[in-house]
Amino acid sequence: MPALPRPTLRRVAHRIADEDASRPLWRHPATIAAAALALTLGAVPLLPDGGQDDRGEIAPSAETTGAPGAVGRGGLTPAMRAEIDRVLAEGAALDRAQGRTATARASVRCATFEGQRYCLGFGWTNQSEEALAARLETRPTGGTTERTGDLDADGLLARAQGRTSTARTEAERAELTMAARSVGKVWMLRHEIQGVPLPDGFAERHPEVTAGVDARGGFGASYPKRSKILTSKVAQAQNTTYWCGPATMQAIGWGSQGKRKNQSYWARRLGTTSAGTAITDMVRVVNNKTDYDEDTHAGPYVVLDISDFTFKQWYRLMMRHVHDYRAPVVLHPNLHTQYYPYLDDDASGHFQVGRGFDQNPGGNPQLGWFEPWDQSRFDPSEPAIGRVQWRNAYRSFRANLDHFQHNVGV
Amino acid sequence: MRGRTATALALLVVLAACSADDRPVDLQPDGPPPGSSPTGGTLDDPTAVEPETAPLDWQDTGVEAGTRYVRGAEWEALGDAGDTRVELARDDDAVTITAGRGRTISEVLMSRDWAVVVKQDRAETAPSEVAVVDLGSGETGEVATPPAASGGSWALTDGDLWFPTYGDGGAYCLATAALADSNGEDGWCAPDRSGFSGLTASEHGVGMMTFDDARPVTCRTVNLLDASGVPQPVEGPADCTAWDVAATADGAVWSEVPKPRRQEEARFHASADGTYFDLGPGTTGTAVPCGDSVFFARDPQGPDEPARLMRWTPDRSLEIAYESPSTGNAFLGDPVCGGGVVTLASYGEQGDEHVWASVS
Repeated sequence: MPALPRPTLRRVAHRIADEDASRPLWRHPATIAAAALALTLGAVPLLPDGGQDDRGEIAPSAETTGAPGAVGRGGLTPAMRAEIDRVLAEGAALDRAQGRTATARASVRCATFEGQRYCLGFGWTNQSEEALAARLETRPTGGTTERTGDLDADGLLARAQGRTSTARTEAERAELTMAARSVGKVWMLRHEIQGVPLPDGFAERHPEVTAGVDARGGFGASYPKRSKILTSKVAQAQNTTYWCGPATMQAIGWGSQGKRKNQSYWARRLGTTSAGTAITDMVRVVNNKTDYDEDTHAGPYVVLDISDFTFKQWYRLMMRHVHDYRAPVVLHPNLHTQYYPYLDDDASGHFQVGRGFDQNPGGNPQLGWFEPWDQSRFDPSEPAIGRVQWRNAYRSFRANLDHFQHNVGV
Repeated sequence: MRGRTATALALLVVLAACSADDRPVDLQPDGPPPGSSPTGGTLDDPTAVEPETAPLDWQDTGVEAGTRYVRGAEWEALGDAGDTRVELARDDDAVTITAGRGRTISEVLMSRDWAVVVKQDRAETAPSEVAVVDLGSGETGEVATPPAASGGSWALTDGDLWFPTYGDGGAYCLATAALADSNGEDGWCAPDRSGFSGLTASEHGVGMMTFDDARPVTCRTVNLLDASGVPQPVEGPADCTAWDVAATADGAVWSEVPKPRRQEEARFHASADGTYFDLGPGTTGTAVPCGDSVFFARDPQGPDEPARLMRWTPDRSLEIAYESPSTGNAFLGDPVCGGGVVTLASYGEQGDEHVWASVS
């Protein structure tokens, strides 16, 4: 039944991991070039999107179909540069950190850009550094779980400790720079989805955003009943137990580029190891290797903490992404049986492709997604199910909230 | 080995049948006397059953939903967040089972007289270890043979444990153990390029899903084990679509997943003395026999409806045994049975619950 017996799979896994280790992603020419590009692009003004009628105001997401209303990249201000340097300097504490608690606290460092907090490894969040560090300090639960390839707290800490200070600084500078240039989008998401008022002068500071006014009202009345993106053929099973990230990225990349690249291609770009893939790397690669980050789609992808989202806000985010942006969501759930009842066993944190919604007026809201985890490949006790799925969206929301990072890539 | 399994199975079925009405061994006939219960329809035209509201007497478990927790008639089992240990407690008695180095707790099962804690190898390369607790004496033991496969589906009824093992040539096999003598044996093995899952066990029999390696979606069949320990397909489900199955006094409850792209949405059915009932929608993978009934979860069917736990009774009635406090955006976890007590986690926008109730 299983394509490969487990011992063989594990040997393959570690061999690939070793190969990855021989050339860390931060040394990959493409990564270096991407980081350099990110640093040199600077403040390229991006044209506002939307049609003529939308000119001069925030694109009304609940009404648009042809005009995505996405936000482009902003510039890197001197204040942002100073903030990045401050956070990078604090990274020296990692070199001295001993033990899990100290390492966790030194790993979670946050920058504030225009009033929004970005924490390394966790993304945009309203949580405190202490709260996030506590999540890292807690050892991953559900040790029985099958690992599908999401980098857990152990993996994040090991990576933080395993990097040289130079490598760490380089990777973190790229991450923070990408984040800083996306702050306009984060404000817009919080404004449109959560109803947070935009700060004074926001439109002037962010010409990449057509000057915004009101948050979107209502839930989904202005959206179609059902919407989806991506052809089903891009939904492929992950080839390796820990390649949910590359399989997810394969589907997203395939949807963008119109041609298939194999999962090993994406694993190299994501820096995937046998410990898994980090969501910050998922977002980085979406931004660097697809066109979904362009202002004709979602604008720059960000890692967004949804722990303070209601279900309605979360579902609205899905609708906005799928229908207005025409761009997939990097879902980040815990693959536990209470959320995925057809599974025999709990699995780990996980990546999936969010690609559709069905408001299902007579029932409960549905979410469409591509599931890379084919348990039957690795376990003779579990039957194969379809890679293309629709389900009670509230389950996916709770699975997302249950993940220790509580975030998505949007 | 296979002969011993067959003997054990035959004994189980014989005891079940004899305890009912002393009729000959069969998986079908020990139901209520004709005329005392509704009669179903034909296979092609099953009788649709309207559920009646009959909530059980639910009690708060006192532990957070999502926590590994099994409530039994007298004992309760509580796992820690890291799946490193399970605390079994009753009044003044307590037994702690730890996973041990390199292992985690993967299953906790309980009947009236026994508790079983499965310790899975974290690397999933070594067999699982099986700790057994005699709930009468509090004494612990283990099931060492045959070696339990890592992961897979497990079921416990009375003193009989059913679990996966690997047989000759790496075949994936069903093992059974009589816990009283800590002795297990392997039995039926899945044919090459096939597997099994979804084990359920009760006094009425053992159910399992078998499946092949078809892609993109496997062809699934639900079965009840016959007296020889060999799975026999349940008559009724459409080809390849079945998922859940549990034996009842007079037939079986099963589910079908009609749309492969809506894997979690199943349609449940029951057979009873050769007639058939349509039990309506339910959540795939949630069927469990407990006490005298079979339970399954149902998602809210509308924005103003709760998630429900459905109960198919020996009287051939469908009851709503539980309703979530939340409506619309809500769902239930897999119900868990411990010796006639069902435990249920309920999730929803208006708050989560983790409750238990005696079935009988």
